[in-house]
Amino acid sequence: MFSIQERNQIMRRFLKLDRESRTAYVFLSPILVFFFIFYFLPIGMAFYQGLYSGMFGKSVFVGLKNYARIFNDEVVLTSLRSTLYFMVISGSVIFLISLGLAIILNENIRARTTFRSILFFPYMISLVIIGYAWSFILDQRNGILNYFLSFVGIPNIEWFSPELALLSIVIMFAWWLIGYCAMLFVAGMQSIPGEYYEACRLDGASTLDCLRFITIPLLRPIMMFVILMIILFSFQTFVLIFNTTGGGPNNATNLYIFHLYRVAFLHLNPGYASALTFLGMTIIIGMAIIIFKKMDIKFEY
Amino acid sequence: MDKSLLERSIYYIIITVAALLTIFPIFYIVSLSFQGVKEMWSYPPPLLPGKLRWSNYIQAWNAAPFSRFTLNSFVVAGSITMIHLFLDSLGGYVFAKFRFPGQNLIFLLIYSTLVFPIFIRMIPLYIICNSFGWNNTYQGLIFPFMTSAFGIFLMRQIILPIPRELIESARIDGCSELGIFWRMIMPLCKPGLAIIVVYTFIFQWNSFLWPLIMIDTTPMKTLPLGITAFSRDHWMQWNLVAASAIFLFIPTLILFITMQKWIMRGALLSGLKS
Repeated sequence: MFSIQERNQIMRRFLKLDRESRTAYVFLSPILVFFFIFYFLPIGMAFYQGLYSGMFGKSVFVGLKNYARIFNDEVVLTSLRSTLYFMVISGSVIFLISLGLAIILNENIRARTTFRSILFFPYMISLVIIGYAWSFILDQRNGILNYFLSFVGIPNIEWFSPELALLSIVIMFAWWLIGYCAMLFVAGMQSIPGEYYEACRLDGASTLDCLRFITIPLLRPIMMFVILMIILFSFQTFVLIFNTTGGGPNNATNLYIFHLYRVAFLHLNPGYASALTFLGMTIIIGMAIIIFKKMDIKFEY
Repeated sequence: MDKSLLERSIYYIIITVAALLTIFPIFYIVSLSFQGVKEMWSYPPPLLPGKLRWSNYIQAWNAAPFSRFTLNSFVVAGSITMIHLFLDSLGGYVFAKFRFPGQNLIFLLIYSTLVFPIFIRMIPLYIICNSFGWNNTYQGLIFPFMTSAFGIFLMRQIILPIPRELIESARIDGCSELGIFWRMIMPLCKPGLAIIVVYTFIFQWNSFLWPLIMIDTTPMKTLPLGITAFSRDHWMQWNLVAASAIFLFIPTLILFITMQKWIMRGALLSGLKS
């Protein structure tokens, strides 16, 4: 990889460092090698791979055709649209509900820790289990949910129809993540000094006002963090989709991550899939940058 | 706090409803795993099984090589966790207590990996691991996950408060750098290690996408993959599928109950660090 000359140069520079730095680098070396091979090398390969098409090991150079193809590919475009819908709907639901629960959990309720643990638990459960559990519950004919709904006079809902399947995935995903996000919010709230609330009360404000003027503005960085987490976790929907709907019916739940898997490992076209990956990566990094920028704004009252 | 009785009651009601909604799916799948085929398909669907059919578990366990699947999952998740303990502490120690050229750049690089979820690395990583011949092996499942930015930063937070004098005096006493790390630093970061153990093990235990990509022979499948394959063969038998899902669930439950303190602490830490 390096020439003998370069190797000697590196050795000389290394030995010139003081003992502290030498030790640091020696200790760090397995970690650096790890990140290089398993993180930076793959990420670097992502764009390059997208220039090829065809099966593993037998692909043909097609240049930027893969990238151009994305814009004409109906399935991909639908997938992007569904993923966008999914993120907006699940993001809002999870965000709002977990924030609401966190506000309550931050109060001095009896058995508060027990409630927190219970709500957090779904996050630890494998999505395979969650997928199956909810498929049984949401089953149209024999599902327990439809049975409960029949008490209130609602007729049998086909939860895995093309119209509603995505909603079912939202339900599973939300059930998994709400507790975790609520805990993130609780952590953030605990760093707000109690004096702020006391001052707020002394000024005669109601609970709702205190919320609006103290809690929410001060939670901005955490809120951005939670949104980022929801976006990053949304890739886990792959497990849910794989074990429940398989992308259907009619590609209704064919979210981007799932379609990517399909193209790479079922259609055996890793080149095209890499192009899709690269596009996805750009979108995600773009969103992450926007969110990081917003997180840096701190309100000091 | 002088909250009105009405306010507090509303809080209790909401939080109780939320807790019940959270528990219900877990309760239901456990219930299903004990039900018999006829009662399962009867209408109205029963909430509780008539009697506890432990035979479902035995039947499911024997219908597919679940002992092998469980072993695979334990080996993979366990190895990854142990390697994590070592590498994360080492990395955390270096970033907490050492000053060296390029440290900010390297720190930033490692930090940036938090933004890249598995799906971005998935395909090139597969090609890389394939070329090493790691298909259908333990190495293929373990090596790509030996450490993480999250773990390194967590350990760094834990190690930062350790006083420099302690380390310096150990150096003066002639202790080797590795000795300092192993005999002094590691024992002092038990809380951090506990959090890493819990989160890493559970994450790897539940891992699905990567094993799916790397494994296609049955003997090397991990438990989640095994359950998926099993459910495809026994599609209509919800009770057996539910029983098999419980195999995956039990270690999670045990870890959750025994390591409660560390789990909640880890959750609060990840919220505060942002």
